[in-house]
Amino acid sequence: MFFKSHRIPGIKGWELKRSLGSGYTRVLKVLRSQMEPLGISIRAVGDDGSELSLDSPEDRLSTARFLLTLSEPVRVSDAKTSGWSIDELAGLTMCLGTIGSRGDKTPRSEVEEILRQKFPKWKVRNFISKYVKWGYLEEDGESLVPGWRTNAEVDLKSLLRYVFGA
Amino acid sequence: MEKELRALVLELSSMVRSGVDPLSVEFQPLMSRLKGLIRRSLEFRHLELEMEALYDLALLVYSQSKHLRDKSSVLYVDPFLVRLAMLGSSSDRLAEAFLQSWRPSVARDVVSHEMMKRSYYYWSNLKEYAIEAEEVEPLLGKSLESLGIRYDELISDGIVAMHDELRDRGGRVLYEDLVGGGSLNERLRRAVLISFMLSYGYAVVEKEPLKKKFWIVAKDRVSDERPRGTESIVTVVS
Repeated sequence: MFFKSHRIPGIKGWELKRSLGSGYTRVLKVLRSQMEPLGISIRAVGDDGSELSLDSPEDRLSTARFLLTLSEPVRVSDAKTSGWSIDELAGLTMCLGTIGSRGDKTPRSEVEEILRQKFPKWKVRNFISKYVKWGYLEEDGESLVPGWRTNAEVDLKSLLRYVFGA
Repeated sequence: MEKELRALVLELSSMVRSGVDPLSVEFQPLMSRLKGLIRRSLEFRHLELEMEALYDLALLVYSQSKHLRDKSSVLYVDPFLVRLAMLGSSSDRLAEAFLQSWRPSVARDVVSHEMMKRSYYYWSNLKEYAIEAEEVEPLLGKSLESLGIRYDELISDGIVAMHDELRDRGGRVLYEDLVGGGSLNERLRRAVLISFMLSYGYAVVEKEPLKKKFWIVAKDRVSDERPRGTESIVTVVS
């Protein structure tokens, strides 16, 4: 689960089944109890981007991607150390907040228009390119949808709740 | 006929791709248009276009259903309110909102599975040659004098006494045994004396590299006087 396949971390359920056998979810549950004290969680993300539990039906788990994430929120200082700027984080919040409130698909022009009210035009283009490159957004024709990384790492409902609380 | 079908397919696919609000699409007129075209169409080559239009219509219906489901959920939030909330917040607070709902994935970035395997075998094979770490007492920069070792003692009776002791113990003693197991100061004093004894030629070192052993072997003392015009080099064998 630590390794990447085609630049995406994690491993598919059917690959785990092939390596560990049909009881692989039991192994994962044990692993989860060992990883939790280290501050690492196991997440299973379904084809549609939804988070699955380890007790979900086998047909859904077999195509899900299993990956490891941090259990606790990241501090601002840690995010800065790992290369994020406050503006990049704020821009991503605005993109995901807009997309999250519209369902799961929003015209790119609309996202750009909202971002332009806070950031200069050149920065907006730069931000969206970065988010697409990093996997937080995906282009679907003229629209933007949440990328694999958003599905794996971000709780959109919780994000919207924090936006209102911000 | 074909032209009309193509126009409908184009219109539908642009609606699907643009991400337009699905509830704002009038589904009935589009369906009626497609029905009319299918009735008039008698040629087999139109079948593909008709199926494509039908597929896009199905996607629109699915989007409407999903949108309704999202809207009906208790967690549904109005896009306009979200927009207002975001525009009214500072970048710092927006960043904090993201960080609270973000759990970054953990992955190895540079090391591949193959490299890990190779390094594992490499280090595993090195294991049998590993030198076991021993606990040593650090000298902490103490000088010989502070340890109670005086130079004048080294060049007088100490060396002779050490040579006599070596002879009494059979003339061939392991270095570690000769240094002894006393306090650090005592061991150091004896090590220095052995070193001078070797320099004077009162003894030689025999090495057993395979067993990692060093023997000190006594030689005859030619003269008790210090060799003139030469200097002793202190070599501590540890």
